[in-house]
Amino acid sequence: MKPIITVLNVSKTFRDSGEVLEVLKHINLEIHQGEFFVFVGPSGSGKSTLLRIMSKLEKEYDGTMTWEEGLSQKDMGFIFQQFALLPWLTVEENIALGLVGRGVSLLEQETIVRRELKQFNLEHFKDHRPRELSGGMRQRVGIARALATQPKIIFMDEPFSELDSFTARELKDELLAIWAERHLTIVMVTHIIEDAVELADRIAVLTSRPGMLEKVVSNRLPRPRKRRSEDFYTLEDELYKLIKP
Amino acid sequence: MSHRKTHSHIYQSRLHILTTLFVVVLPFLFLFFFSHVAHLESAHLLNDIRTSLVRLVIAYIIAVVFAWVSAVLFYKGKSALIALPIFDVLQSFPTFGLLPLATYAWGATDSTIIFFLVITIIWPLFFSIISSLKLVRRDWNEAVEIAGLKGFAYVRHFLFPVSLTGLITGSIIGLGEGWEALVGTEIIVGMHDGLGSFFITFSQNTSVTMFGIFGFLLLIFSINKLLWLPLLEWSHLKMEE
Repeated sequence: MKPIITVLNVSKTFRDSGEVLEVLKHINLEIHQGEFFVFVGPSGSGKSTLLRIMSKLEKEYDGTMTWEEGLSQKDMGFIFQQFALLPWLTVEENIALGLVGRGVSLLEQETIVRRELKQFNLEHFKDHRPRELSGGMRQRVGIARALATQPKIIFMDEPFSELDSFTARELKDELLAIWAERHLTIVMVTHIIEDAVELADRIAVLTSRPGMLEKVVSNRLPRPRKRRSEDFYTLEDELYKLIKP
Repeated sequence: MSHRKTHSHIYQSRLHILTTLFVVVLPFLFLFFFSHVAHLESAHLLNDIRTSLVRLVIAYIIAVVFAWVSAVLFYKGKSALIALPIFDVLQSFPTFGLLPLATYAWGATDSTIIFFLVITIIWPLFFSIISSLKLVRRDWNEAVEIAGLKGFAYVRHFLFPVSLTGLITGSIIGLGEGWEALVGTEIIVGMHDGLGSFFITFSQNTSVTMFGIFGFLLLIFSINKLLWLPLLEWSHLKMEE
């Protein structure tokens, strides 16, 4: 498989008023096209920082990070832990945000937004503001917004950690279906090991601060994955052992 | 799926609308009553109020444009490190110190009053907008960056909405100071019209001056109640997550 993202010797240090905080050290990895890649690690291991470096939101770091040739910022979507919906915009306007930025015509915007509203069962809430929605529905809007621009790669920063378990379950199933249907590459950060085992093709384990790559584990469990199977638990145990707080 | 519906209407009930309408009518009722008691022509008094109000509105518009553009240019990055301490020193400068210079340049004219009002109103506006912009959540900024919003779309869908609460708060504070500066400057410069001129004319008549002050407060209260407070409430609701 072709690498869509290549990370070479990436390190990141935050400097604030004389204080130095090394969060990532010498990270090397490749993420392949169509892959569901997940980062796990203890708190403060720099998972989110690495995700932001790979999505080009964080621009200052040491080392090199490259995207496949021809891939641009327009081909990427991002799903945030706390949804990052703009509260002054309606559901419809939030979903259309990336289309506005890409200069898509109003007519086309309407068609795409309608499609995403339908996909995520948000049709009746299109004129609502984010404050009027539950957490699960807000994250649906966040996912719909990320998908509306038809990205090739999606970055997700702990997308299910703010949701109740039922909603998270529902969204994970929907996400897996969309991933397969739209041939996306997904890079996700999570602290929930079960989610990593359930969703990922490969799982990168980061050490505690400064985050270094402990191991990249291939997840060969057949899909759809059975969460109560012995193999599932075995892989979960392996990951727990690798993650040292 | 659960959801809650909230409304972003400025007026909450019929009673609220009626009270507001009463507050609109009140200053005018007072004005006619006051004109009768003080043996003044209502038209003359209305003209003074209008003249002062026009000066204040022009100064406010100029201050809003300058404050908003400066805040947007200097709220973050390296330019903020240099510009904000300079603006902080400038805003501490006593504005009345510039009044002789302005009077020397423009004489007792509208330009002098408007200039003085602009340098009074601009600072609360500027710093309130700056604080609104600085409080923007990091992930909102990131969402907008990923969306690729630029130019007018960036201003319309992001920059203006996030600065709105600061703009309104700054307007309330700035205009509060502006009213005081307006009357003070009109008196000091010796304008022949406007509220300052009114207070100078009746400075020997305590009861007329007292009525005038009361009417003046009523006018400010009405503008706050009718315009700024509903706008502030509306902007907070818009930003509520």
